[in-house]
Formats: sequence, structure tokens, C-alpha cells
Amino acid sequence: MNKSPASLDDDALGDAVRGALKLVDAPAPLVAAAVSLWATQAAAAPAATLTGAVGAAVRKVRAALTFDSWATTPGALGLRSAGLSRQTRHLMFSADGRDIDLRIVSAANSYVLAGQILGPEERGSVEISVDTSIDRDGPPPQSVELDDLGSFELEAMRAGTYWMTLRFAGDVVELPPIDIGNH
Amino acid sequence: MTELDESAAKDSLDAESDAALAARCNRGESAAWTILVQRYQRLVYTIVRRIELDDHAAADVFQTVFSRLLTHLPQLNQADRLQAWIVTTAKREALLQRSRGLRTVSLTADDDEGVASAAYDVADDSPLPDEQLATLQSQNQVRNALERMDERCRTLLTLLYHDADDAVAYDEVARRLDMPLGSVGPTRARCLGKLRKLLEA
Repeated sequence: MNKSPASLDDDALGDAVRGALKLVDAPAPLVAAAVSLWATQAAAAPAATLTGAVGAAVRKVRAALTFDSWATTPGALGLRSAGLSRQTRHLMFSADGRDIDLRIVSAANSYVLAGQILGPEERGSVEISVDTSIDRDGPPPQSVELDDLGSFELEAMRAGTYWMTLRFAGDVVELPPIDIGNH
Repeated sequence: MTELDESAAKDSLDAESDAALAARCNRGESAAWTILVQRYQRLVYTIVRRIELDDHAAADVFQTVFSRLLTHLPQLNQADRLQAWIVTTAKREALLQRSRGLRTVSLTADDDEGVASAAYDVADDSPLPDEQLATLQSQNQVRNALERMDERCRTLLTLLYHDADDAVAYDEVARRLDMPLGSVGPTRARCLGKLRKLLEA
């Protein structure tokens, strides 16, 4: 069926409909994450411009989730765990030689996001921005430097879906969207 | 904007060509990006799964394809060939991921210049030769057009063509759609005609 489908007769077009109906939707979290790329790019635009001005040697690395203490099944797609009441969530991501260890702790009416980069000893920073396609009135993006132990902490975070980017001298590591809190 | 207004705006964008949506994206209209993702999510996911990647790798490649698309939109000279670009990128990213056997995808700045990068010089031993890719593209066009049809036609065609092994008989279709049995055939022909017009647009 390599003719344009518009040129098919009824029987052939019916067969094309049958084939079309067999196409499976991508999982909703994947589609949502792809849609949210727009907001991530918009939030990162100033930093990206700066990176480009400094040099073209910066690599973009995409981190993959390797552990979620709230996941019901290993390897589950998406990070949403709304409805669970446990106080602390532990997430681990892996990205080309670095492990990113995150802990989300419920504190009164907000959350604390603490993390540590495990891997080569290096300076860097963490940028986090709310997914504006989901929450248009969310807080502004935040940025914090890693300390000598590669750790960082962000307090008084409100529930929401966030994008996190780690910036090092040679790499930019992008994490999948992270849901904080029950929202 | 009311829900009706939003729905009308979405329907209007749904009807636009890839080139028009790409132009809107380049003007900063996020709604156009959402439509592009929805238009191609099934096609990208199907290609990625046909390469037989596991869930993690498939998710990585899916995100990589759309991330690269977003980055490339301002540089795409032939926006009317967006579908071909997406298909080629999805296939090559999936093959690259399979050959690496890794869960992370690294992109150097040089890779952003196009899909013809040396990093993509992967032997094409996939179960997705060009002919099958062309078929998938046609099926995706038909599926998107089907979703833009009025509900009655969409339901009728879905019932009639859902699965060759589980086809719904005409009398059952007539009962579900509350129409005379004798109307099913002519209505089917009219709905296929409407679908053809949507595909021509």
C-alpha cells in the first residue's frame, strides 16, 4: 500500500483503515513528556544560548530512570506516584557514567528535593523548572550550584511536575519529568 | 477561551499541514507542537517497537526523536517532508540504540546538524524495510484522518474494519448505530468518500 491512501478505491481504503486501526498509541506518559519538551526548551533557551556561545563541545545526555522506591513494578514507564502516602521517595537515574540520586521528602505543606551526583568529581549546577504545559502558574525556574560533595537541596517546593537539567563543564544532563507530591 | 472555542481551535490546527504547523511552532505557538506530537506519536512508537527495543530503550528513543524534531524545526528546509524526516530519524535512532544496547542516548552538538551524521551509519538489518515504512506512514495518515471525521462515520468505519478476525456484522453495526440494515453499505461508501477527501486535503 504505497500509493497515496487518497487514491485508493473503497476496498483498498477499507484495508488501509483496518491497518490504521492496528497502530497503537504510545503510552500517555511518553506523549505527555514529548509535549512538555516545548516548555523545557523554552525554559532552557537562555542557558542554551550561553552554552552555544561558550563552545560547541557540550554534549547533551539523557538520563534514564533506574530506581523508583514508589514504583509498583520495576521498569514501569512514567514516574507518577500520586496517591501514595509515604513520606520519602527515592529516585535514581543513570546518565553516561553518572548516577543521580534524588530524594523527595514531604515537609508540612511543601517538599524538599535533595540530591547527589555520584560519579566523576566535578563542579556543576542544577536547574529545575515546573512543566508549564501542566501548571501555567507554577513557580519560576530555580538554579542551585552543587557543593563539594556533588550534593544540592531545594526546599519549600510545591507539588507539580518538574523538569531537571544538570549542567557540567562538558555535559548537559536532562532528566525525564519528575512528579513531586500528590497533585 | 471556552471549551468550545478551544475545541474549535484544536480542530482547526488538526486540519493544518505539517508545514503550517512547523511554521507555527517556529513562531512560538506551543499548541502547534502539541498537534505535531499527537499526529506522529503512534507512528514513532510503532517504528520504535518494531525494532524490538525494551520499554526503557523505546521510551528513550521516543523522547529523543521528538527532542531532535523540536531542535530541528527552525532548520527544516522542507517542512512538507516532515513525516519522512520523522520516520528516518525514528528508525535510525532505534537502530542506533539497539546496536549500542544502552539505556542512554548521547548527542553531540555535531549530531544536531542532521540525520546523515556518521553516528547513524548503522547497518540497516531492521525488520523495517522502506516498503513497510511507507505502509506505516500511509496507515498513520489514514488514522489521523479517521480521528478528524464526524463521530458517526468514525464509529461505523471502526466497527466495520476493526479487525478482520473479529469483524462486526452489518446487522450488528446497524443495531449499534441505530440505522436500517440497508443503510450500512451506502453509509460506509459515503464515509469512505469523506475519509478520502480528508486525505486529499
